[in-house]
Amino acid sequence: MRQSEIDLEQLNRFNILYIEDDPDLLKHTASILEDFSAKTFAVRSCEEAWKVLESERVDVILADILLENENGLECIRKIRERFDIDVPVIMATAYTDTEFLLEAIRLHVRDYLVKPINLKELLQTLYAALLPRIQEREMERNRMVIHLVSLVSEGKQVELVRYIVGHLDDEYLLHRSYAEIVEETGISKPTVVKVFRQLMESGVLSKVRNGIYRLHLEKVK
Amino acid sequence: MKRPIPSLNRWLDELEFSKKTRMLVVIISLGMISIGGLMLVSIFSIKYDYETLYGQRTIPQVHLENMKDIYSVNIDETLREISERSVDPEDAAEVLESALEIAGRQWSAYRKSIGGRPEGASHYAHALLATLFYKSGEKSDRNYYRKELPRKIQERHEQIAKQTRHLIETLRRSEQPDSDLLHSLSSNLQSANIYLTGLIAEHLKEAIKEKRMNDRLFERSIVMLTILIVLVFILSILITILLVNHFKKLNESLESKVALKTRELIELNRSLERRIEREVQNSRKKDWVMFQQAKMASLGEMLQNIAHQWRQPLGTMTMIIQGIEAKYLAGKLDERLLEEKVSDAMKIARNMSETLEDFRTFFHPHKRYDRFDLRTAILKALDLTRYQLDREGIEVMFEMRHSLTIYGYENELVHVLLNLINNARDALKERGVTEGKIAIYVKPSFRRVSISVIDNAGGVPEEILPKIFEPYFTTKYKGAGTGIGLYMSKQLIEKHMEGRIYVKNIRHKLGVKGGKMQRCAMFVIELPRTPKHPKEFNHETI
Repeated sequence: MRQSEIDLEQLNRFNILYIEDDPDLLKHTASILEDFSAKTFAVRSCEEAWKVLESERVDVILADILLENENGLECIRKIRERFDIDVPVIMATAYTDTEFLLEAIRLHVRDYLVKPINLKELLQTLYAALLPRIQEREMERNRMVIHLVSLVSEGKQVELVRYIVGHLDDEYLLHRSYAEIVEETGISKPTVVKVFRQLMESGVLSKVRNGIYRLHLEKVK
Repeated sequence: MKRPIPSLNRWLDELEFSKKTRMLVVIISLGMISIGGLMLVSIFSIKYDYETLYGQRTIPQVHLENMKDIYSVNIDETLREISERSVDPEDAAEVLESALEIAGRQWSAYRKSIGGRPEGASHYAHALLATLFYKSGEKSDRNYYRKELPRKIQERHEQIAKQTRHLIETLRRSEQPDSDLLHSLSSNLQSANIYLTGLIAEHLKEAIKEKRMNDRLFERSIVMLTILIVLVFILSILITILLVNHFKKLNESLESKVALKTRELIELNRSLERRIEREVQNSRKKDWVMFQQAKMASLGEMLQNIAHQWRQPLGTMTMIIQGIEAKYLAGKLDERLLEEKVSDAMKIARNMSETLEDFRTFFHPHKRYDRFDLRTAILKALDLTRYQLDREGIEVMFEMRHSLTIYGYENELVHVLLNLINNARDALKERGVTEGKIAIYVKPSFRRVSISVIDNAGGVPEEILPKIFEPYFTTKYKGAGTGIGLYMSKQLIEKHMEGRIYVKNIRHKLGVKGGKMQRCAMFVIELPRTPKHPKEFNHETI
């Protein structure tokens, strides 16, 4: 997951809830996180975290496993029970205690950081934790693009492209003849032929033999 | 004579003591018995001699003497009167008759006395002595006369009797007796008297001979007796000397044995001393190892403490440093921000340094016996344990009305207090006491000051109370405790500071006014307030 090239700009859009009892560490870590996130809520106790969760959108929680007079894991459990949110949680710990780890797994803690915290590692972990959200966002955006394209160009062509992509097998092969496509989609044969020709000319699609076409993925990117 | 003596000596030397004693007893008793026996025999022999002298020599002589008198006085006189006719024949016959009768009686009495020798024990004793000390040759040279004379006297006596009776008859008939008859009677009487005298002499001679024999017998008996006595005496002395020698030798051998044993004992003693020395050294070494272990254990605990206390600031510091970089990269690092970050980092670094200094001074303590402030020492102990106590949520109470300086090794006291506090903490944790409390009270008295460390973990179980200060005694699970802590504490307090440490289970309110009594364990350290004998204490042993 931890790719060398990560787009930390992506983190800009997310809100981070940071729970840490040591005021110095809280202050300095928060001041860095603020630069990378949309909003960073730095709190010193579970109680404060609770208040934040009640009023704000939180995308990821970063919590110390040992808080003053309370257990960070206990705090996470309460939050999970009360808000029933599937916000990814990252624990920061000085311990590598298996007992804590097992408990952490049970609470679906996404990852953990061993103190002292390495900033790069922290950011990567945050990114990794938020990746599904990032990807979800991207897909949504792509869908939007397709939708908008379909609005400005000929609708049938977009529908045909969607059909082709939708019927590719694992080898990126399409096992359909023109007749079958016409029959299944109801799009006129000239349109189908025209689109196929355009795609083959651009090199994206090639004919293996009659009725079998290959999509060249590298050409799409 | 030279050869047998050494062998005899050797034999005697080799003889057992009891055998020698028995020999002595046997010899002495045998000697006594033989002396006694000889004396008994001698006495009987003397009695025999006396009896013989009386019965066989004196009485016969008396009879013979009487007979002689009768012959010479009565009969011869009467005969002379008859021949002179100066006596009445009737009276003369009467006299002669009675004289004859008396003479016969005397003679038969003599014969009787001669035949009857003393019988019984004295006779046998005499015979025994005679056979023992008399040569058989000397024994019976009973001379001829002894047998011949009585026969002759008998003949004469019979003749005299015959002639006298004849004379008496003549006189009865009142006839003048024949002078021939008278003459022959007279001569017979003469010869009878001569024989009688001879016999008497013979008897005397025999008596003298017997006396001589007795003398010799006596002499020999005496000699024998003396020899016997001397022999017994010499033998007794010899054996006594032998015994004394034996005793001496025994004594010497015993002495030499004792000396040998003593030497062995001394040797054993020395080796024991050496062994004890070694053991003491070993035990010192063991103690040293133990103290090292304890030190390592508390060092470990301290390191854990340091680690705990450093982890947090270290994390912050890391974040500050990375923050500087991140801010710079983001182009947000202005002078104000940099200053803030640096001053924060410096503050944290200072704190870390202080923490380290605390521990460092604790582990490189001033090893001097000195005055120190008791409050400071206790606070130091509390400071060093605060982190862990806070983490366990244990409330600490410390009450000390007046400040107090005492003498001793401050850091050792801190060590002991740390130990007690950590034990209390462990007990509270182990028993899951929710409102854990540790109270420290200081109460001075005139000479001493007592520091009580009380926890409400429920007290020490009765069965382990007596063992709690023993080395290697631990109740902690597996590797949690070394079992040295309390032992070391006791050693430090008692050996180095002349105080004492003990534990009691008590009920205490622990500072809660009107609160309920709780079961508590109380460890009390009592220390003298004045310096006593500051011991030269080699810290290398601890």
